[in-house]
Amino acid sequence: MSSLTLSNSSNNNVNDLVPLDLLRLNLDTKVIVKLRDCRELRGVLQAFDSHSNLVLSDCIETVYKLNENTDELEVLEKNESEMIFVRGDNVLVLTT
Amino acid sequence: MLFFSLFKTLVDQEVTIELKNNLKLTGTIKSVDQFLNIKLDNISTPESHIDEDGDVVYLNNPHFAGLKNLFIRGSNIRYVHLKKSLVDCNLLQDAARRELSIEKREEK
Amino acid sequence: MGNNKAKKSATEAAEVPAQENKTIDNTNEEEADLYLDQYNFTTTAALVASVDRKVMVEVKGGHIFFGILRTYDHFANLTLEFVSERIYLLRDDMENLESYRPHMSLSANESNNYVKHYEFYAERQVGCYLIRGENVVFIGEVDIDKEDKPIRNMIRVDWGLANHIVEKKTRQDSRFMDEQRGRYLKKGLS
Repeated sequence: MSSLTLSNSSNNNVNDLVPLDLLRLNLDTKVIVKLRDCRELRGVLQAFDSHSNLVLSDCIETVYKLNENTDELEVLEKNESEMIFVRGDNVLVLTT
Repeated sequence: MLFFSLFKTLVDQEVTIELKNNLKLTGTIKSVDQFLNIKLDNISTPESHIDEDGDVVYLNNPHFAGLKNLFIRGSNIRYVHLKKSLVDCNLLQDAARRELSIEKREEK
Repeated sequence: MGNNKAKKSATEAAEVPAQENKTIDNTNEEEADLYLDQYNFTTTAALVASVDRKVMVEVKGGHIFFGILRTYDHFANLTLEFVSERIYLLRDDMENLESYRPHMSLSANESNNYVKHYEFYAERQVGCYLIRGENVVFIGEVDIDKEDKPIRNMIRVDWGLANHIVEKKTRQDSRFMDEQRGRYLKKGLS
């Protein structure tokens, strides 16, 4: 999300924006959420709150692990969920 | 409050909860509170099955035998898998926007 | 002294709904419904029905306790009376502990595909416990007619022996987990 999009939002003054406004602007769009325990979610953001609890729809969870021998990151499994609630304390980063 | 309200609308519905200790539980939501602690009924786990007496057998968790309900502390939850048909997406998005604007107003 | 305090809050917790019911009698039905609706969705409402009944509590680290729930608060701090602690063991734990290999569970699917057939258990009475809410994973209300069904088919072993085995496994597990965590941290993963 570029700074341009942020300043074009209904709040013209950037000082009025808080980090959670980025979540607001990404409602109903596809987001990537990195979580603790080597997890990543890709889905459509439906809701969030100030704890960064989230609800994503049509979501794919990817669980990664480190290969025992090569120490390379590899995919352990992928899981689908049509609607998922994510507790905020797992969330590390959210991007689009 | 947004997710507290969401879970209140899901009472008596079946959900699957994934805990941070990698336990997966399916059950019917009986109650929820402001900390998003969730109380479940009719608990099943992926490896559980029903024996000849009609009781659920939990091989990996024998201490679940005959539990009437299970109160899960919210802080241990990683995900809650919901049914799409039970959630109104537009309502959720609006509620999220509204809650953020209320919080911003209160902070000023 | 602590016990008195606990007792006091137990009676308080038990009395709250009773008092509230009285006031409801004086209001009209609609208000009562609204009131009950709000009351239903509190930590208290979820746990009050289990007070003075036998519950199972699992805490972080996997310890399992059974006991009579006496008091609780909204952190899910609990006091339990007549507590017993239980351990389950596999045949391999009893007969083949040297070959035990620690394993780090990475996902729910992985750990659930791995079905454990516990054949042994141990139990000890430990009196009265206050369990700090932060460490509670879940609390289940026990049906005393059905709770011992799984252990009926298990062999009871001496607590000291079982505890020794579990401690040994835990030591190996935590050493292994530390190693693994180190590997992940080096890669900037948590």
